[in-house]
Amino acid sequence: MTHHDNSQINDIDDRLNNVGQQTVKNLVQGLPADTVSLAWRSSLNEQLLAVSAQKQRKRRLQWILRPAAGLSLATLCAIVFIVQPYYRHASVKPDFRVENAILNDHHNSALLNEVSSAGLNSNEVISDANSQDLDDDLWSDSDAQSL
Amino acid sequence: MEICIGAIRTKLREPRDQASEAAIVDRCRKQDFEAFGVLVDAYQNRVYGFVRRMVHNPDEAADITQEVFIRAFQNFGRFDGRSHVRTWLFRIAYHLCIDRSRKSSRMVQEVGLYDPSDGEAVDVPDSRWQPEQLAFDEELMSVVEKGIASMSEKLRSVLILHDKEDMSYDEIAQTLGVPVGTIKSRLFLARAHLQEVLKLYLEGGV
Repeated sequence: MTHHDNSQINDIDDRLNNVGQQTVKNLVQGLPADTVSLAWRSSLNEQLLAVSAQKQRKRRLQWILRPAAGLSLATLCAIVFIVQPYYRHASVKPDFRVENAILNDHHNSALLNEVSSAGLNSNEVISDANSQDLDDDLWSDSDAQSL
Repeated sequence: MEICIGAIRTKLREPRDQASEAAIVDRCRKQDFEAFGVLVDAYQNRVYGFVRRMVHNPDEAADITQEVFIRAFQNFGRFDGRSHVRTWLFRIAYHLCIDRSRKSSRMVQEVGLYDPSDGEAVDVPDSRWQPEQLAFDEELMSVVEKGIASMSEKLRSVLILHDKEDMSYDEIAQTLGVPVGTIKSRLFLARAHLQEVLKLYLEGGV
């Protein structure tokens, strides 16, 4: 605060204390005090009681709603953070059964190919017993004579 | 020069001391209806007096005063206790008066075609008790009230709170939310305005 500000404050204080200002102050102080009526007071009481009852109702409702809201929030959190990741994990987990079956089949077929030479696949391989029977059926006596 | 209006100034009952008021405030925070009643009894007339001089209309002033106490009751939990309860109540009252005057300035004012004072019974002072003095006092009071009513809200509120309600500069600054220096200059201007209005009476003397 500067010297100029201080002098201004002193100046306004002096001015407020001069006779004319103090006379007006006394006049305003002497104005009669206002009073409210009893009807006004009783009306205020009614309104305050209504406000108080409303507040109590609100508080009671909050007493019920707050735990319910907390419980709902906890359930929601449980679903979001515990149950849902489990489901997501389970559904995302790859199932290689079909691929494995195909791969195994291919592997077997490659092995068979190596054993039974090219041109034959596993379905075309006929057991020895069956082939003997086939040979017997197909050759006749005339065929033997012609040799 | 000492001018005294004949009326006796009524000292209103306030909670006896700081400790008892603090106890009442604590109970009010817990929504104690009875304790709040004590506060209402202590301040209802003072708040009403302030509001009536701010809005002019006594019925409107009564409504606003009720609203002041209802709001105080509803929001007592937010009262931090750093200021005086009186300061807090007058702050609510001041803001409600300002809101009301802003609303009413937007509305079209209805003007009556006749003077409401016409035909009303006039209180005739007791002739045995200095009738001239009483008549003069009554007239002077009326002129002071008119002078206060003719001021701007800013000047009026400071004048009433300081000179009528005996509030300190700091309390008024807290109530109105302006610096102490501004309060002082507004008070000076308000009194100067009233001096001008009462010039004839003050020069004539009593």
